[in-house]
Amino acid sequence: MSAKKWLIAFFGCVLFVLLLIAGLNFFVDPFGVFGDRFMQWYSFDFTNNPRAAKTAYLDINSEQYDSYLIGCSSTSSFPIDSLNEYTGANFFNLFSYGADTYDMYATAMYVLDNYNPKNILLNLSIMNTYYYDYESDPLTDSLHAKVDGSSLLSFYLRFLFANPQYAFAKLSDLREDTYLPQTFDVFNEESGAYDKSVRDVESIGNMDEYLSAYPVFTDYPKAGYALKEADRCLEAVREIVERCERDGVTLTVVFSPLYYEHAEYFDADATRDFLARLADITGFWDFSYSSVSFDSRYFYDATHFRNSVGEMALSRIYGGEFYVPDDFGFYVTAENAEEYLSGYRTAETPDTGEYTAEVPILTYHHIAEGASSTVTSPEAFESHLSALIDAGYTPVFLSELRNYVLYGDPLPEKPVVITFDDGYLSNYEQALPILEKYGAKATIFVIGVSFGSDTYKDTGNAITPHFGLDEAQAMLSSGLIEFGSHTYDLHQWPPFEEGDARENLALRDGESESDYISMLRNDLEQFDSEIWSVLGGNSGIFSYPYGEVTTEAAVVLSESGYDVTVSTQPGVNTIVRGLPQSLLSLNRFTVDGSMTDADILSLIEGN
Amino acid sequence: MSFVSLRFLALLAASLALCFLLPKKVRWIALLAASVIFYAMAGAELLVYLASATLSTFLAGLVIDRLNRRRAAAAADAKAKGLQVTEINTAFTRKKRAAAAAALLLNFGILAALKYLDPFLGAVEYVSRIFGGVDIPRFTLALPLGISFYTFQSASYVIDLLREKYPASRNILKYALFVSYFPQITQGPIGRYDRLSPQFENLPGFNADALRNGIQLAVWGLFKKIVIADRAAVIADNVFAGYDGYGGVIILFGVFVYGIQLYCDFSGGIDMARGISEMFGVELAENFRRPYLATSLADYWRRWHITLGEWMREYVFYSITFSRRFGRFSKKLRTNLGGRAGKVLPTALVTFVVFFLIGLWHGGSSKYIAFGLWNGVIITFSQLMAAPYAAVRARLKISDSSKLLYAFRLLRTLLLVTLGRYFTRADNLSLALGMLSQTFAHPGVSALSASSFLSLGLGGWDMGVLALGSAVVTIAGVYEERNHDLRAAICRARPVLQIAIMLAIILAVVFLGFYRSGYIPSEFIYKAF
Repeated sequence: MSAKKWLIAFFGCVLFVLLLIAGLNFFVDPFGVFGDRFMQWYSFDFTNNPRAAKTAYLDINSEQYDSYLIGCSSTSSFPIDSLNEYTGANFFNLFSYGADTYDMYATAMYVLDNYNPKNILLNLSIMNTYYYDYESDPLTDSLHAKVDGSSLLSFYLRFLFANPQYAFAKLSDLREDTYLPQTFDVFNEESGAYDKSVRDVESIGNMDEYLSAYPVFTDYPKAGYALKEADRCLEAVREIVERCERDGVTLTVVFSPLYYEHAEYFDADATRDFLARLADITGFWDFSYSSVSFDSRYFYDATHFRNSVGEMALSRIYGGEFYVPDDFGFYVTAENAEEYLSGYRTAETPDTGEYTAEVPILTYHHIAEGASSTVTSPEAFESHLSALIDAGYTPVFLSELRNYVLYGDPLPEKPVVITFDDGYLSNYEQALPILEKYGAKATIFVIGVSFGSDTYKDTGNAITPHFGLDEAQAMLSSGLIEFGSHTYDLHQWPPFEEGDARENLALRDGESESDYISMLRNDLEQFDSEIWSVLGGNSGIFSYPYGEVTTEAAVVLSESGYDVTVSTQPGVNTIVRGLPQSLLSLNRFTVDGSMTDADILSLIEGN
Repeated sequence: MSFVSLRFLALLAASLALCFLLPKKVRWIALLAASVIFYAMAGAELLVYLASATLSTFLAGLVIDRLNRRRAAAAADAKAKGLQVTEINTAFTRKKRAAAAAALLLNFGILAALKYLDPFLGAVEYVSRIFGGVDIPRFTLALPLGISFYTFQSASYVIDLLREKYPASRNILKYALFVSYFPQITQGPIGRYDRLSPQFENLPGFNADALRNGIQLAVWGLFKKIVIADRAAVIADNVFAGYDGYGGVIILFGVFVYGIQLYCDFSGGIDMARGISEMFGVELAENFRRPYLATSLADYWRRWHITLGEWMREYVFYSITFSRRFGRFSKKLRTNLGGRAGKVLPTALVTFVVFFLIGLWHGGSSKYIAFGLWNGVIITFSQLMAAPYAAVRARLKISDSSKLLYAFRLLRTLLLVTLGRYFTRADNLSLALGMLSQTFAHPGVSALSASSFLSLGLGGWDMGVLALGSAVVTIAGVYEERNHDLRAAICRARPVLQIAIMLAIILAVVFLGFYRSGYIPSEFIYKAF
C-alpha cells in the first residue's frame, strides 16, 4: 500500500471510529440530551444526568405540563398527583440531585423564558445557602447548555463523544430492567420525581426496627456548614420572585423539612437571619424545623424527607385533609417573620404518643365447635371478646387505623382489631351475633373465588361453606363489619388443584417479573369486578395469603388502591400519623381455638 | 501542554498545514511559531527562561566562534611562519573557556536554582533542626517546561563550539528553533545542533511517507502511553502509596509494573515526539532501544534514555577522562595500584560521577543520589569482575552465545533495574529502603493468590489489557531486537492486514485508552442522593 493510500485509509479509519462513537451516543443517548427518540428510556437518562436529560425531555413533552417544581433532590418528595389535584395544574418535577442555587436559578429562568408556566414551586433547602455553583462532572452533573447559556456545540459534542461505556451500560441495563426501580432508573419519567415505589411500600412503624434498618439515624454523620452563599442564594430568589411577579406566574417558595440533626449543621442564629432576609423578599412556607424533624421515620435517609411528609406540606399549603401536625409549616412573611423566627428551632423532642398508636390485631378463621389454628368455637370467641373489652380494649376497624394515620382522626385509648380470614359462612352465622352483642367491630377478608360457595371452584369438592352476597350485605348493614380482600384466587388449596397451586403471593421459581405482575393485576381486577362491585367499592384493605409479602406485590397493591395490608407476622403494630407506610404489612396474632382469655391478653400485651 | 489533547491536535494540524504550504526556505518558521505557541500555552511567563537560555548560549556561541576563527587564522599564520602553535591555542582556549563557562554557569545555575535549591534548603533545614536551629525559608518556583532538556541541548551546542565541531549559528531565530523545538522540548530526546539544524534548513514539506511513518510512530507511542502505562500506573501508585499491606512478591511485582509504566510512558512519549517530528520530516535521535532486553546494567543504560547517556558520555565522561588533570591522576593510580584495579578504577570513578549526575538530573532528592550510587556501584563492580567472570565461564565451559546465559543475563539485569526503581519511584529514600527490606524479609509467598494481584487497583479486565498490551510491546521489541524493521514489515503487508492493524490500534487507543477513565457507573452517580 502506498503511503498516500495508507494515509487515506488511516484517516478513514479514524473517521469511522469517531462516527461509530457518535452514532452510538446519539442513538442510545444515555444522557437523553438528543431526545432519546429511539429507546425512550427517560428514567435511565434522568438518572445519568437529571439536569440535561430533563431539559431535553421537556423540550419534547412540554405541552403535557404547565407547572414546575424546582429544587434539589428533596424536591422530589412533593407528590405530583396531590399537587395537581390541589392546583388543577400539570406539574413536572424539574429537580435534580445535588442542585445548587445556580442550577435552580438557571432552571427557573429557562422555564420562565421558554414554557410560560402557570405555577412554580421553588423548594429551597438549607444546603442552598452553602452551595452556589460548585464544580461538577461535565457529563453527569452539567446543566443543559440551553439552560446555562454555554456553547451548544461543545455541549452536544461532549455528549456525542461521551465515554461509550455509558451507552453500553444503558444497553445492558435495559436487559436487567424490571418493573421496580433500580439504581440505574430511579426516576419516574412522567412526573420527573424519584420513583419511590419500593421505598414507599416498605413497612414502617416500630422505631427500633426502623433504626436498625437505617442506622444512619443512630449514628448521624457530623458536619458543620457556614451559610456562605446566603447572599447569592437570596439574590437568585429575588430575581426569580421579581420575574414571576412580572410574568404573572404563581410562585410558591418552600423552605424544606429537615431532620433535626441535619438542621444543626447550620448555626441557628445564622439560619434565622437568612430566613428573615428571605421573608423580606418573598413570603414562603417554612417546614424546616418541627416535631416532624425529630422522627427519623419521616425521612428516607439523613437528608431526604419522605413523600408522605411532602404530602403533609402540600396539605398545609393548600388546606388539604391529609394529616398535618400543628407545628408543621408556617407561612412566613415580612410582617410576621420576627415573631415567628423568635421561636425558630426551639422545639423540643415531641412525645411520640401524640402521633403514634400501638395496635394489636387478632386473626380468626372459622367459628365452629372445635379448636385448632383455624377453628375457634363460638363460646371461646365470645369469651375472648369479652375479656378484651373487660381489659379496656375497643375493637376498631382497620379503616379507622387508616383514618388515624392519614387524617389524624382519633382512636380509642386501647384499640384492637379483630379480623377473620377467608370469609366463612360461620362469620355471619356465629360471629356476627356475638359481635353485635358486644357492639364490637371486625374486618373480614374475603377470598373472591369462594364467595358464597360451599364447593371448591368447579371441582365439586366440598369445602367449609363461605358466605355470599346476602350475608355480606347484612353484615355491612350491621355497621360492625367491614370487608377486605384476601385475593380473588391466589389462596388455592393444593389437594384440589390440578396443576401448580398458587397458595400465596410468593414468586414461583422461574416466573418472570412481568408474568407475575400481570397475574397479580388480573387477580385484583377480578376481585374488583366480582366482589368490590357488589360490596360498595374497594375498601383498600388486603390480607396477604399466609402472610407472604413480596415487594412487587406490595407495589402493585399500592398502585391498585390498597393502602392497609396485613400479614400473619405476630406482633403489636405501631402506626404513625402522616406515615401511610405504617399501615402496610401489619402484624397479626393468629388466634388458636384452644387459647384461653389469658392467653389472648398476654399475646397482645407481650407478657 | 500534553500531546494527548485536542488543543495539541489542533496546533499540530495547523502547523503541519502551514509547513506544507510555505516555501522551503521559510518552512522552519512554521515550526518555530508552533514551538513558541506550544511553550506559551504552558505558561507565557516561562518563555523568559527559554529566551534567556537561547540568547545567552547563542551569544556565547558567537563569541566562541569568533575566537575559533581567530585562533585558526593565528595558528595558520604561525604555522606558515614556522612558529609554535601550542601557545596560541592555549591562549585562545582560555578565552573560549571563559565565554563557555559564563554561558554554562548561567544556564546550569538557573537549572540548579529552580530544581535543586528547594531540596537543598530542605536538607539544610533538616540538619539545622537536628541542632535545634532556625527554620529556613522555603520557596518553590514554577519549573519552566522542559528546562532540563533545553538546558542540556543548548549546553551541548556551546561545548561543541568550544571543541570546534561546527561553526556557530548566525540566525538567532533558527537557533531558537533548535532550543525550543516543540516535539522534543517536554521530554526529549535531547537533540544535537549538528543533527537538527541541517534538517530544519531542509524541511521536505508534504511527504506522504514521512507523514505515514510519523503517524505510525506517534500512534504507537500513544498506545503505549494511554493503554499500557496509564493502567500500569494504577498498580504502581497503589504499591508505592503504602506497601504495608503487601507481601514482598506483590511489592516486587508492583515495582516491576512500575517499570512497565515508566518504559511505556517515557518511550511512548518519545515515540510520539519522534513521530510528530517525523511528520514534518525531522528525524529525532533514538532514545530507547528495547532496554528490557539488555544483558547487563551497563548495556541497559546504553539502551535507556540514550540521548541522556550519550550526552553524559560526550560532555561529562569524555570531558573528565580526557582532561589533563585526570590523565595525571589516573597515571598515578596505575603506578600505585598496578594491575587491573589500576586500569579500571579511574574509569570506574568517572562512571560513578556520571551516574551520580544522572541521579541528580532526575531531581535533587537523596533518593536519586542513592539511585545514582546503586547504578554506579553495580556497573563499577561488574567492570572489576568482568575478567574473573570470563575465567569462571571458561572453566565451566559456558559459551558466550549460550541461550541459557543470555536468559540469565536478561533476568539478572531486569532484577537489578527493578531494584533500582525502588529508589526513583518511592517518595523518599527511607521509604524505598523500607520497601526493599519488606520485599526480601516478608515475601509472603504462601499468601499469594490471583486476588492478591487483583487487590492492586486494577480489575481483571484491565489486568488482561495491561498484560496483552505489554505482550504486544514485548513481541514487537523482540522482533526488532533480531534486526528486523517492524514498520517496514507492516508496510509490506497486504493492505487488508495493514488496515486491520491500523483499525485495531485505533480502536484500542480510543476505547482502551481515551475512554479508560471518566466513566461513573450509575450506582455511584446516584449514590449520595
